[in-house]
Amino acid sequence: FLPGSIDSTVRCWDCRSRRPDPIQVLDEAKDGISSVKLSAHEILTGSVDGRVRRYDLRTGQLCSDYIGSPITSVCFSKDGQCVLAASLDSTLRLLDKDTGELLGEYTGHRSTTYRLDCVLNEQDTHVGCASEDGHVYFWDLVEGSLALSLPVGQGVVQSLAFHPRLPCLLVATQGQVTLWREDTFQPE
Amino acid sequence: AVESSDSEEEDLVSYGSALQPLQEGERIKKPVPLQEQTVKDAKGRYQRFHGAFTGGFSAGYFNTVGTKEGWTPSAFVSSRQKRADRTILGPEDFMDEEDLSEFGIAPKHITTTDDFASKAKDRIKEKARQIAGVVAPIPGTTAFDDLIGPSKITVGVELLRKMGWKEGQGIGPRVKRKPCRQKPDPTVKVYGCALPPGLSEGSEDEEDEYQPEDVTFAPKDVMPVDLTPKENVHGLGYKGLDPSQALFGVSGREHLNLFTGGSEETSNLLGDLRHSKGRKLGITGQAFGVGALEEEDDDIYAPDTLSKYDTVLKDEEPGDGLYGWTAPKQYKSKKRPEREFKYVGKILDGFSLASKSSAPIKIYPPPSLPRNYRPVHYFPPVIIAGNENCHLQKALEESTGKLESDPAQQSRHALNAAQRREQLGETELKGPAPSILEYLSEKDRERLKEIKQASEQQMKAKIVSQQSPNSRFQPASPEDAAHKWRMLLGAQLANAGSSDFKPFAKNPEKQKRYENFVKSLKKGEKDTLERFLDPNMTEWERGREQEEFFRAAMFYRSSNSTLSSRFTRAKYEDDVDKVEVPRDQEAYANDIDDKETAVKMKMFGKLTRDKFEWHPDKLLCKRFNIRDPYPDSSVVGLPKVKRDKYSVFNFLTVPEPTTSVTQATNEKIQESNSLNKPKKPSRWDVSDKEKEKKDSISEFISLARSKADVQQQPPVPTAEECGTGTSETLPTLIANEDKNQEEESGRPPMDLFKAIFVSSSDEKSSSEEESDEEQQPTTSERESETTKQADVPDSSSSNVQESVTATTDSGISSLPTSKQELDATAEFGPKLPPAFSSGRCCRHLEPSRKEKHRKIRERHKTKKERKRKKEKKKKHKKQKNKGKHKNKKPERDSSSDTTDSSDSLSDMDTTGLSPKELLRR
Repeated sequence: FLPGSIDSTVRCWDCRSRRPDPIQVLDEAKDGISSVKLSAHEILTGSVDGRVRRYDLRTGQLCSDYIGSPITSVCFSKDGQCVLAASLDSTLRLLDKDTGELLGEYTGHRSTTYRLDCVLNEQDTHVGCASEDGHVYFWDLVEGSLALSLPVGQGVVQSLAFHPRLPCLLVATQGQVTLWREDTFQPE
Repeated sequence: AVESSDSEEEDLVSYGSALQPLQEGERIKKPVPLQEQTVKDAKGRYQRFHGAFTGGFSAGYFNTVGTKEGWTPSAFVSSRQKRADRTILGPEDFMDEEDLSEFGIAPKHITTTDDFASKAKDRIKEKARQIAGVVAPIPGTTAFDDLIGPSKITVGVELLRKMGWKEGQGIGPRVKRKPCRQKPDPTVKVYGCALPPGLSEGSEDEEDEYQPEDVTFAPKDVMPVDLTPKENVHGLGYKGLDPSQALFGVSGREHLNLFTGGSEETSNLLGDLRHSKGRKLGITGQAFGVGALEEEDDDIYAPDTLSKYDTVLKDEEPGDGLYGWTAPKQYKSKKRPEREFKYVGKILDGFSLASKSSAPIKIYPPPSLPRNYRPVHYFPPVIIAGNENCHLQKALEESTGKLESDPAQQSRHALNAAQRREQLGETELKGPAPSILEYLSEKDRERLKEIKQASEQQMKAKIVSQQSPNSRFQPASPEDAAHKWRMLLGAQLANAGSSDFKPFAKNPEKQKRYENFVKSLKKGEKDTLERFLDPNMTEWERGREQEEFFRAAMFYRSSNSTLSSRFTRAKYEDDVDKVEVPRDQEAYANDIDDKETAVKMKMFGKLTRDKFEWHPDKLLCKRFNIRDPYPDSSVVGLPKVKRDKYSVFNFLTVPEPTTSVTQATNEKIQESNSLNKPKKPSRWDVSDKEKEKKDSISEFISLARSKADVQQQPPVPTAEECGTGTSETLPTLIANEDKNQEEESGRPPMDLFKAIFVSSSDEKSSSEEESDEEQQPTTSERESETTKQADVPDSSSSNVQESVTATTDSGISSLPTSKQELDATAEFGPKLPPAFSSGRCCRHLEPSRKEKHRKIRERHKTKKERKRKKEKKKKHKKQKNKGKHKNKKPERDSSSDTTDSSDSLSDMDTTGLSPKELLRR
C-alpha cells in the first residue's frame, strides 16, 4: 500500500489487491504535490500552490493551511503534534497540527528554486533543512536559533533524511551520498 | 593397503541417496504390499490405470469418483426461487481438473489466438477448402467465403501497402532495371520447360533494349525459404492423389493428344478437364454406376471416333515445313506463341492453374487529342495588384466566384512574408527597421500620414466617381458599407470593452489594425476608419478588410459581454444543467488575499486554515487500520453538491458550513462581506478593535467564546441553506441582483485591512465606552459602530444605547414592509445577517449622523409597535414571504438570526476577538 504523488493529485493505490487504478485520488491541490508524508492516520501533503494539506482519516477532515509560497517539503514531528513545512521563500515553518498556528519560523538557509528536504531530528529538538548553498542547516526547534550549519558540499543539497531513532543524517549532494554521525559514534 | 582401499572408495561412483543408518532398536519398515500400492490423484482419489502411462484411468464404479458411492450427486437445490440464474453447463463442468491438465483428456494448451496467429494461410486447410469447394454441390461457393470473410492483413502488410508496396514486389528502394524480369512476359512464359535459363534471359535483354532511363522498378520479391518441416513418411516430393484427377479421371484422353508433348499432358488439371467435358460432378467412373440406365456412358467403352483425331495438318506446323511434327520442342514452342499452352513446371504451393484463360484485356484507345492541344499547363496571366486594375481584378474575382474569405484559407501565394515566417517558425529579422518611417520623428510621421491620407482620399473619390456607372461590380462602396455596419453595430460597440478578443491573432499587423479600427469605431469616427487600414493594400483589399473588421467587431460584440464571462473555461459538461461543485471550496478568489496578509503578518492559524469535511475511501481506512469516520456516507473525497451550473453561488464563496465553524471562519465571512461593501467596514471588525481595549474582561470573553461557537453555528448553515435554496429555486433575477452588488463592490484597499488588524486604538479608550461596556456588555457590538462613527465621545450613553437597540430592531423588523425591506437590503446585504448598518454609518460619517439618529428614532417607534405584534407578524411574515418571493427567506432567516444574536450579543462580539488574540500572540 502506498500513496504516490503526481500531477497535483495524490493517488492512493492498494498494493494488496492488484488493481491498477488508485482507490482514492486526493485532487484538492491546485498545483503539483511536492511532498507527501504519512502518519498512522494522516496523509500530509505539501503542494506548490502554497498549501499544506492534512487529510485526517480518523476524523474525516481535510485541513488546508495556507503558507503562501510553494511548499517544497513537509514532515511530521516525532510526537505527531507539529508539522514542519519548508517553502520556497527560504523559510521553514513549524505549524501546530491541530490549529494551524505558527509555532516557529526558521530562516537563514537558501531555498528559492529547488525542492529541498526538511527534517526533524530524532528527538524533535532540532529542525534541519537542506540548502542551496551546500550546507545543511540546523535550528533549535524551540528557540528558532541557528544551531549548526553543516557544510556538506558545494552545490545544492538535494536530499536529506534523518534516522528516525539515531542521531544519524543522510545527505545527498551532487551525486554523492554522505552519512553523518556524531563524533563519538564507533562503527561496529 | 589402507591407502589403496581409500583410493578405491574414492573411485567408486555412488548412485542415489544412501539409506538412513538404522537406529538401535528400530524396527525395519515392512515393504508396502502390492495391493496397497495405489495411485491417488491430487485429491486423494484412487486412480486405476488402464495400462498407459497417462490417460485412461476410469472414473466409474471401481475407481469411484469423489466418494465411495461413485459420482457425488449434486445437492438438490430448488430452482423455484432462482430460476433465473440457472447456468448452462458445458462439458467442462463435468470434467475433473486433471482432465484439463496437460495430460488430461482435454488439455488446455496455451495457444495463440487468432489475433496473434501468423497470417500465413494454413495450407492444408486451404487445400481442404478448395477441394470442398470443388466437390460441394454448388461448386465455387467457398470463393464467396473469401469475399465475405474479414480480411486478415497484418499491420506490417498494411503499412507496407500504404507506403506503396504491392503484392509480388520486393521491399526496398526502387531499382533501375527492366520490368520483365520480375513479371515475365506472357510470351516468354511459353517456354515449355526446356529453355535454358541463360538463353532466355539473354534474349530478354536483347529484346527490351530501349527502356527509358528514368523508369525505376520495385526490387525483386524474395521468395521465402519454405521452412515447413516434413512431418510425414512420404517420399520426398510426394504429393497425394490429386482429387480432381482421381474423381474425373484422365484416362481415355491420353492417347488423343498426339501432337503435344507428354510433359505438357501430365499437367492437365481439373479446370481444363471440366471444360473439355461437361460432365456431372460426383463420383463416377468406370467402376461405378455403369448400368443400362446410365445416359452418359460414352466413356465406358471409350469409343475411338474419328472426330477425335486430327484430320487436317494445321498451320501449327512450322510454316517453313522444315521439321514437321517431329520438330524439336524448342522450335515448336517458339513458333507457336499464340497457342494455348499448359504450364508445365511445378505449380507453386497455394496456386492453381486458372481454369479459364483470362479474357483478353480490352484495350481502349486513348482519347483523341484536340488538334491544338499543348501538353504544358498554361497559367492565366496574373493581374498585378494595383490601383489601376483593381476593378479588373475584382471583376475577375467575382466572375470566377472565388471571393477570398480568409487569409488563413488562401493559398500559400497569398501569404505575406511575416505569415510565412511564422509558419516556418523563423525568428524575426533583427536587421534595421524595415521602414524609413521608423527613422522619422513622430511629427514627421504624422504629417506624412496625413498627406498620404489626403492623396488616398482623393484617389478614392476619383475611383468612386469612376465606379458609379459600373457599380454592378461593387455592391457597396466602403463608405456605404461602413455606414451600414455602423448602423448595425450601433451602440453595441460603444460598450464593448477592450478585451483579449483577437480575431486576427495570426496576423499581428492585421490585429493591430483591427484594434485601432475598433477603437476608432467606438469613438464614432467616420473617416478614420480608413486610416487604420493598411495603406499598402489596394483599394479593394482595404474594402474587404474593412468589411472583415466590421464582421469581427460584430461577432466580438455578441460573444463578449454576455457570454464570455460565463465561458471562461469548460469545466463542466455542456449538456448538463447541474454540476457537482465541491461543497466547501477553498475560497481562493476572495480570501487568498486575506490569507496572504495573514501570512505576511505571521498570523498563522485560524486565518490560514481551512477545514473541510473529507471522506476517505473505505478501503483506505481499512488499510490504515482506522475506523471509517463516515461509515454511512458513500461520498469519497470532498462532499459535493449539485448546483445550477450557472448559479451565482458557484462563484460566490459560500460561508463555510458544517463542522466546527470557528471564529476565524466567522472572521473570514465578515471580511468577505466587507469585500462586498468596501466602504462599509464591518461592525464586527470595529468591535474587534474595541475588544482590544477590553482586555480587562478577557476572562469573560474566553467564557463567552465557547458559547459563541455554539451559537454562531445556527446562522451559518442557514446562510448556506439560503444559498443553495435560492440557487435552486429562485429566478435568476435575484441572483443577478446579488451579482450586481458583488460587481459594484470592488476590492477594499489594503489600508482597510491594516486599519482593522494593526491599528492600536488603545488611545481611544474613553470612559464612556467602558462604562457602556460595563453597563451593557450585551450591546457592545452595536455600540461599537456608534463609537466608530465619528469618534464622538460626548454622545450620551442613553442615546447610544437607544440607537443600538434601534439598529438591532431594524435588523429584526426590517422585513415586513416593502420600504423597509429596501432599506434592509441596502443595509444588510442579501446574505449575511450581521455586519450591516455599521457600513452605512461609516460611509457618511458626520453628515449622516443626524439623519441617522432621526431614522433610528423612526425605527424606534416602529419597533415598539412591532414588538407588540412581533409574534403575530412572524407567522404573518412567513405566509407573506411564501406568497411573494422566496428570496425573502434568507432575510427572514437572517432576521431571526439577528434576533438570536441580539439576545446573545456579548457572545457575538467576543467571537470577533480571535484575530486580536492572534495578533497578540
